[in-house]
Amino acid sequence: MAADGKERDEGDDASPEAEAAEYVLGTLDARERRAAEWRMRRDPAFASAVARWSERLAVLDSGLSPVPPPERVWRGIEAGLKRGGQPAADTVQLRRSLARWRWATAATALAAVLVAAVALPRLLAPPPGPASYVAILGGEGGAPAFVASVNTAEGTIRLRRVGSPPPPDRSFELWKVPATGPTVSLGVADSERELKPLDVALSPGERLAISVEPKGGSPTGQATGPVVYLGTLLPAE
Amino acid sequence: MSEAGRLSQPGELDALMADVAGGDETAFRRLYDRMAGKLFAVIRRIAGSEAAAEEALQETFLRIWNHADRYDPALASASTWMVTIARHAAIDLIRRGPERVSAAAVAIDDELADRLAGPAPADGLEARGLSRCLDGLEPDRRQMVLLAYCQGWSREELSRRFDRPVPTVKTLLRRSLIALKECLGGR
Repeated sequence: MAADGKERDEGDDASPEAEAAEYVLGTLDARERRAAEWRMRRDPAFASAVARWSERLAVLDSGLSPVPPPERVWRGIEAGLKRGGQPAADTVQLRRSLARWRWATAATALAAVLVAAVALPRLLAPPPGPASYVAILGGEGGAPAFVASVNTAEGTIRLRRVGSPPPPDRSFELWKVPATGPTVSLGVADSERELKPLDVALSPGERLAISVEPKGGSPTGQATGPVVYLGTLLPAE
Repeated sequence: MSEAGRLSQPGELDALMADVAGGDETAFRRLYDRMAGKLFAVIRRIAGSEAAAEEALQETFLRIWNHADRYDPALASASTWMVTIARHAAIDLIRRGPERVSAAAVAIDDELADRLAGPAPADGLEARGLSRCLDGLEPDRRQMVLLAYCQGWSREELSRRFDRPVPTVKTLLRRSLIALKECLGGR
């Protein structure tokens, strides 16, 4: 077989057949791919070439064992159907922010989910003392990343990270997000466990957020980086 | 017909697809129950994080719902059609992010390439055929094809990994694919 194709003429590389093959392979750039998809709907021969390439290469997926997705995926799809099949507009911004940094922590994400699944029941048990509120801060997909417990008697907020650490040159920063008015920094949250004095009032229903900031925290007093985790304060008991 | 298509009883999937194209949400849920695990496995190889994989799977099923009327059972199996959508949804998602090559933790070596290429025992004739033809490619070219298909690498990522200019990567990919097709008997 002509594995290296050296004897082939250059024209082959630009043929519809090669275009269809690369479409299925997934290496066309965005513009080329839109052109290919446009062509698929108008040129039956091209659509058929794409289908044959899909079948040819599908063999590479055939050894994969199915992985049942979490039920929340279906709930997200159902919500999408109710919006007429469109992704949630209000989550797009957060999602894009997430996309900017998630690769730095991708390798540990699965581990974090597993840790969270094991650790949560214990974490959710009320910590010693009259803890008033808890919040579970999660990103897209709902995987928990932080568990916060507020103890109003002691005036502290205890933060336990169950997700990935921040990217190496960045800090996580914790924010109070009131229903109205500006967010209030509750400090940097880079350690796995943080116990911080709480000098602002918090009440159930208010939200806590974690953003990604320059090392050491936001230089401006307001979140400058993407908000990656959100959670709502709930009564602890 | 791919192995996956056979396992998923194509006739039944085709019937479901027709109902989904007609806007039947119950059929859509059944299609999800049948295919989500398979598509999630495909997506997870590309997406790299669970959160990204879940998002891509949601996007995949919304695209299936929106474009079910474009599925033509005469061209490909429903399973294969959905895998193509899932792979593109996952690739769209990762390309919105920063370059992945910085995730140097992805150790790429011949062993990985062999594992990706190596058919599972139950894969049957088609897998063995493709595997044999992949083995006929030069190692670099085989890895390029496998990284692109299985893990969604872009030409730019492959260009850096293999230290070849982007246009060369494009040419090598296309020639390798055409060579695979010829090796498979042009089918």
